[in-house]
Amino acid sequence: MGSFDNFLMGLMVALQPQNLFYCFIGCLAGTIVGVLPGIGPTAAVALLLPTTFSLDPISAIIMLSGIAYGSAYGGSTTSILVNVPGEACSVVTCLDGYQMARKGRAGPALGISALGSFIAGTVSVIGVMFLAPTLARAALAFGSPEYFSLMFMSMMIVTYLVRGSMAKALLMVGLGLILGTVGMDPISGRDRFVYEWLVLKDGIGVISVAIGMFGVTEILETIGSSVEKEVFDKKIKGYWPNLQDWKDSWLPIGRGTVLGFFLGIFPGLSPLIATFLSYGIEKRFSKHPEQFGTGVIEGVAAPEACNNAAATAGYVPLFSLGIPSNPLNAVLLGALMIYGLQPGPLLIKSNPTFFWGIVASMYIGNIMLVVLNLPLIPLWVMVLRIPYTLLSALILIFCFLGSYSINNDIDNVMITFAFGIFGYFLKRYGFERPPLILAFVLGPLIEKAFRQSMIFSDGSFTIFFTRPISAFFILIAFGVLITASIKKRSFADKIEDEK
Amino acid sequence: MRADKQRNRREIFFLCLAVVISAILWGTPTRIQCQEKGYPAKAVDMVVPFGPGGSIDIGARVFVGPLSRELKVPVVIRNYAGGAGLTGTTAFFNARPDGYTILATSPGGIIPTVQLSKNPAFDPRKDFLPLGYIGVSPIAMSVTKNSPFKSFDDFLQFARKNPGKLRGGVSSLGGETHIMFMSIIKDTKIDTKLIPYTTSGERVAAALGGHVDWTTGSLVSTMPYVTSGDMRVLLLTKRSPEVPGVPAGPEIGLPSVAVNIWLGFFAHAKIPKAANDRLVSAVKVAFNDPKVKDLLAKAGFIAEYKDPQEFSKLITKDWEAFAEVLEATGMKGK
Repeated sequence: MGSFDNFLMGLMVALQPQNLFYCFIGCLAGTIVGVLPGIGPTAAVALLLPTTFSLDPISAIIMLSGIAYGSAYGGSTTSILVNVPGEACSVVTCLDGYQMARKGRAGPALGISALGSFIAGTVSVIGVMFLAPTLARAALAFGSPEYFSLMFMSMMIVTYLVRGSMAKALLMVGLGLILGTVGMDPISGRDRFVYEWLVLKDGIGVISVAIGMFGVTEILETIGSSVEKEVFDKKIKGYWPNLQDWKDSWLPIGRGTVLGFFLGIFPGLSPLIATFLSYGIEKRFSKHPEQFGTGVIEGVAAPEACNNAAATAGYVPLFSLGIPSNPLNAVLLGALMIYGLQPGPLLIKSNPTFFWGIVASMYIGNIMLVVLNLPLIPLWVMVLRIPYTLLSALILIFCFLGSYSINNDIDNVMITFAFGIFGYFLKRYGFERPPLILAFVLGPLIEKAFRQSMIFSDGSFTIFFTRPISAFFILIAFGVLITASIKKRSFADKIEDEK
Repeated sequence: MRADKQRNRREIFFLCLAVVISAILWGTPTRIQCQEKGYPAKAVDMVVPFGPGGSIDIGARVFVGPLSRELKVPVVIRNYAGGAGLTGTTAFFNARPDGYTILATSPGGIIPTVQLSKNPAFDPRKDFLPLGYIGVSPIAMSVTKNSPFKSFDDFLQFARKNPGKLRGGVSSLGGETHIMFMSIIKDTKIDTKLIPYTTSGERVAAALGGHVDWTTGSLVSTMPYVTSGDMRVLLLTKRSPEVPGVPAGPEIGLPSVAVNIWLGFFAHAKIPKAANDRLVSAVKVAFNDPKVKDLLAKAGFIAEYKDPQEFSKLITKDWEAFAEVLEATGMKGK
C-alpha cells in the first residue's frame, strides 16, 4: 500500500496550480512538436531546457516530460495523413494508417491512435509506479548474449510483415543490414563506408531513410500518374472509431501496451523494434493477415499503443537507475543534474516527492493530451480536402524540413531524397520497404550484441545456448521460423485470392 | 557682384567650419565608441560539438550568462552532435574567423577525432587558439559492490595471475575514458578483455548487471552508483574530494593514467587580435563569476582556470598521450 500513499502525495504535488500549468504547457508544446515534422522532441526539450533553469525542478521536469510523451501522441498524425513519419517510431503507423486515410478513414485512424496512446500511456504509468525499481534491476540480467537472442527472435517474428514474395523480402532485409553497417564500427572504432563524408560517420540516419522511403517516394509515385487520379477518397467515412473498430482494436491495444512496456525497460533496445514487433504479432494473431497493409485498424492501434507504452517505460531505467534508454532521456538526465538532483539508484529514495510528483503528472498529462488531441481530429481530416496537387508540394516541403532539422545540414536532405528515389524503384518493382527499415535499425544493434558476446565467449557460439534466457529466445525464434514456413503456403494463397 | 561673391565665400567658409565642428563634436565620441564597440557588435555563437544534455554541454551553458553579461552581447549555444565531435569542430573551423564563433569542447572533441581522420581539415594545435581552460572532470576506474577487488592492487594482482580473464567495459571508443582504460593496460601490462559499449548508460547497465568486471567512465557518471553503494572507485586520473582516499594514476606509478576530461574555450586562429584579447579576458572574468564554480560542480567539473599559454601546453601534452594510445589500439587504420 506504500506505493499508493506515495502516489497520493505525488498527486498533491502534481495538482498544484503551477505544476498543472507547466504540465499543460509541456503537453501543448509536445503535441505541436509531434505534429510538425520540422522539429523532433529531443531538440525541443534541449531548446527549452535553459528556460527552465529558474523553475522549481519538479515543475521543470513535469514540463519537459510533457513534451516527451506529448510528441509521442502527435508523431502519428503526419504518418497517417501524409505518410511522412514525424519521428522514427511512427514508421510502422504509416503502413496501415496512411492506407486508412486514403480510404477516407483518417478520422478513425487518428482517433484510435490517440485513444490507444492514452490507454497505453496510463497503463504504463501504473507499471512505472509499482514495478519500477524491481523491473529495472531485473532488466540488468540482460547482457549482450540475451540482447542478441531477443533481437534475433524479433527479426524472425517480423518476417510476418511480408506481404508478397519472401525472396524479395529477404533481399530487402539483406540490403537493410548492409546499409546499417555504414558508420563507425561499434567494436573497433574504425570508419566503414564513410568515404570521408562527415554525415556518414554516425551511420545513415533512420529518420532520413524513413522520410525518404515513405514521404518522398509517395510523391514521386504520383508524378508519373494521371492528374485526375484521386489519391484520397474524398468521402469521409466518420471522424471517430466506431463500435466495430473498437472490437477489432481492444486486444491489439492491450498486447501492444504490454509488449511496449516490457521492451521499453531495456536500455539497449530501440522502441522502433517494439513497434515493429507488435505489428508482426498482430498480423500473426489476426484472422485476416492478408489485409494488413491495406488499411486495417489493428495495424494502427497496436504499434501506436506500443510506442507510447515504450516511451513511458523508458522512465523506469531513467528514474530508478539513472540509465537513459534513448537520446531524449539522456537530455532529461542532464536536466536532473542541473537542478541539483543526483540521478541514479537513490533518486527515488532521496527525492520521493519528485518521483511521485512526476508520475502523478503523467496521469494528468495523458488526460490533457486526449482532451487536446481529440477535438483536433476533424481539423486534421480537413487537411486531406486540400487538392492533392497542392498537398503534394506541401508534403515535399515537410520532407525537406524534417530531414534538414535532423542536424541542421543539407547532407541529410540529400540522403533523404536519394532514399526517396530508391524507394520509388523498390515500390515499382514490388520490393517491400518495411523489412528494409527494420533490418536497417536492428542491424547495428544485433551486430554490436553479437560481437560483444563473441568477445565474452572467446568466439564460441555456445554462449547463446548455455545462458538460459538467451536459449529461451533462440528456441522461440526457431519455433517461429518453423511454424512460419508451414503456414506460409496458405497465407500466400490467401493473398492470391485477394488479388 | 564682388560683395556677393565675398558673402558667398564667407558663407561657404562658415558652412565648412560648421560641418567640421559638428563632425568633431558628433564624430569623435562615435569613433571612440566604435573603437570600444568594434568587437563584439553582435551575438557570439558558442559551438558545442556534442548533443544537448551532456556534461560538456551543461558546463558550456554555465558560461552563457556570465559571458554575455561581460561581452554585452548574447551568447548562443549551437549544438552539433555527431562524428564524436568532428561535426561540430568542423563547423566551427569553417565558420568565418571574425571572433563571432567560439568553441566549447573537451579533449575528446578535438584530439582523437582529428588524429583518427585520414585527411584532417585542421590541426587544433595550430588552427585553434585557446581562450581559457575552465574546469576539469576526473575519470574513474570502478568495480561493482560484489567485486572481490577492494583496491587497485587487488585488481592488479588478479589480472596478472589470470591473463585474459577479466572483462573491462568502455563507452565511446577514442574518447577520454577509453584512453584511461588503455593507459592502465599500457602502464601495468595486464591482459584484459575490452568490451566496447556505445553509450555510457549501456556501459553502466552492463557493469551493474555483472556482465563486465571493471569499467572506466567519467567520475560524474559514476558518482551516483558510488553514493548508492553499487560501485567502488579504485583509481582516478586526478584526485577528487568526492572519493577521498582513491589514488590518482601517477601516484601509484602509472604516469600515463593522467588524461582528464577538461572543458575549455577556443577561437579560430585567424581571428583579429583585438577580438581574441577581448574573449580571453571575458572568459577569465566570467570564470570569476560567483555562481560559476557551484554550477560547474553540478555538471561534474572542478572549477579550475588556466590561461591560454598554460592551456596550450596541456593540449600538446594530451595530444601526445592520445596519439600514443590510439596507435596502440590499432584504431588508426592504414
